[in-house]
Amino acid sequence: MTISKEKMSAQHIWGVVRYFLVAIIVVFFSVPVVWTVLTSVKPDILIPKMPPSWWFRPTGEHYVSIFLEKHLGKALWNSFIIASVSTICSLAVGVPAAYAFSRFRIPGGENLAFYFLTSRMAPPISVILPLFLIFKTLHLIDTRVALIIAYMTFNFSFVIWMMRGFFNEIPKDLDESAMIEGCSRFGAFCKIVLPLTAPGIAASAVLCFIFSWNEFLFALILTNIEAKTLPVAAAGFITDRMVLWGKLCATSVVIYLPVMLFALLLRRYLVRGLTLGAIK
Amino acid sequence: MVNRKKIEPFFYLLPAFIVMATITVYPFIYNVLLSFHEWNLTTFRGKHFVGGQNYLGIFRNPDVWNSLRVTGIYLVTCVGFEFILGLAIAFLIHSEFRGKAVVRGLLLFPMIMCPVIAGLIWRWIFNAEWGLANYMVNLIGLSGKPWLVKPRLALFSVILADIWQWTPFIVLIVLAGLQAIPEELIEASEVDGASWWQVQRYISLPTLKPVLLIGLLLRTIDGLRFVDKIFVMTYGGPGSATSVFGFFAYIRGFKFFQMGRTAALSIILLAIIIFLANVFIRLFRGAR
Repeated sequence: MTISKEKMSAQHIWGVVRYFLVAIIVVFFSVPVVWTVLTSVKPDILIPKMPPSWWFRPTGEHYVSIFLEKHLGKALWNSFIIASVSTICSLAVGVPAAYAFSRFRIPGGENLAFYFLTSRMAPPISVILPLFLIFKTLHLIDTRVALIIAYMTFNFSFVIWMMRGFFNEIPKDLDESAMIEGCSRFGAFCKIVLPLTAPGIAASAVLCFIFSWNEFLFALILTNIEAKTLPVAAAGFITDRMVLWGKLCATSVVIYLPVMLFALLLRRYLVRGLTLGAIK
Repeated sequence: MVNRKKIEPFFYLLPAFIVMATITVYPFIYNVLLSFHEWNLTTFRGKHFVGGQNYLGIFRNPDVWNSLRVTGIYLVTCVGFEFILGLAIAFLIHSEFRGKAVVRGLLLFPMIMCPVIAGLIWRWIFNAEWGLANYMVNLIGLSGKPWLVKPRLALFSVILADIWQWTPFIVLIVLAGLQAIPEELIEASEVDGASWWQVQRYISLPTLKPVLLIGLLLRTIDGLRFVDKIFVMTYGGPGSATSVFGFFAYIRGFKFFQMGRTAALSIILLAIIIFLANVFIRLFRGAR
């Protein structure tokens, strides 16, 4: 009797301790996000206040100001166009290649697929330095095209690697039986295999979009004014004299919101995408 | 017909090869050639061949060794803490409890935040006068610290920001790994009298090994490529206390415009990454 009572209370204590630990974890990982959102609707006078004010009348002034005075709309449009076009091009090139890697016996296929992956692992500086010099001679600096191409360097290898995994999950018999029924290989690919991998394609597309949307260094180097993207615009709120925290946080929320929605939609595929398909 | 079958794969692969050749292979070769030239964009003297001088210069430069040292400290501390914390948190929240789904959902948010934004927010949190960090420190009753001003604290701050962003990633992959363990296996071992520790030691950890190696590989590569947060949090400073290799190379290239030297630096970094990636992949294949 006594033993089970002790065991009960030990379990009870562990339950309480666990909730306490979970609370600390939740606070640590969510405070910076909550702080950003709060500051984005905080009046300017309250922002540098210490101790911080957690309760106040929210204002939309920073959001109005970033779009009306700081012309963030243009950066938003640039970010959207660059991320979308780079994603679409990467899919157009990457999906058929991934299908080939999954279905055909290609000499050295495994090494080749891996070689595609190394271009994703390369340090940004080793990609951006030659691209910068090449784009400079082609007069492509500060254009959206330059960034679209630059983002394809990591996106299309990502698409190939991810989609190969998704195609491998679809039995080969399926396209073969379609071909016996009279479909061409390409017909089977378009009509049978592609629709079945639609969730995979959507997941890859969303992840490509997020990678491009969040990218900073390439955008910083390859753009000045015309093709500037959101992260670069956000960093621009740090000036030599002061940091415009309210505007910075409002911009951060604008950058963060679509990514958050995507992440919630695609929770199932997020781990798979971020581990390049290694963990399902 | 036979002929058609042979060329068929290329129909699917050709676009990828063309894109690969133009946007990654060609720039890579350009970069390798560039690393054997001296070319400073701030002078009017054009590009000229200098052989291996850039590489020799790099090995003689104490700043390079410093940046390698900083990168090493940064990498080992970050990855170490992310793994320890990540494993602990994953085991903590793996079992059923109320609000589990909410906690798991919240954990997604740090790692999808734009890294440069995360850096900016953490820069603010570490602001000596009105940052949250000193506010918390004061609440516990300690005196505030000039986080981003003192060399060691600055490196610590950057590391903490990285731990914040990437520990959830380790948590999620470990959770995915834990879910793959068949429950009957654990139940059976418990029936046979195995303790909690024994279950983790002999069942969970061996199953998690490939997952952990993948995490290690990806975090190491990303750690070596890391620049965004440094850029906005400390700009490599104070002095060169947080000047990690990638950032150091960036400054050579886009502040001093020493193109050849930067190309050589970037190729050394690429070589380090490829070497480490191969080591991990061998380990991974062994573990499978």
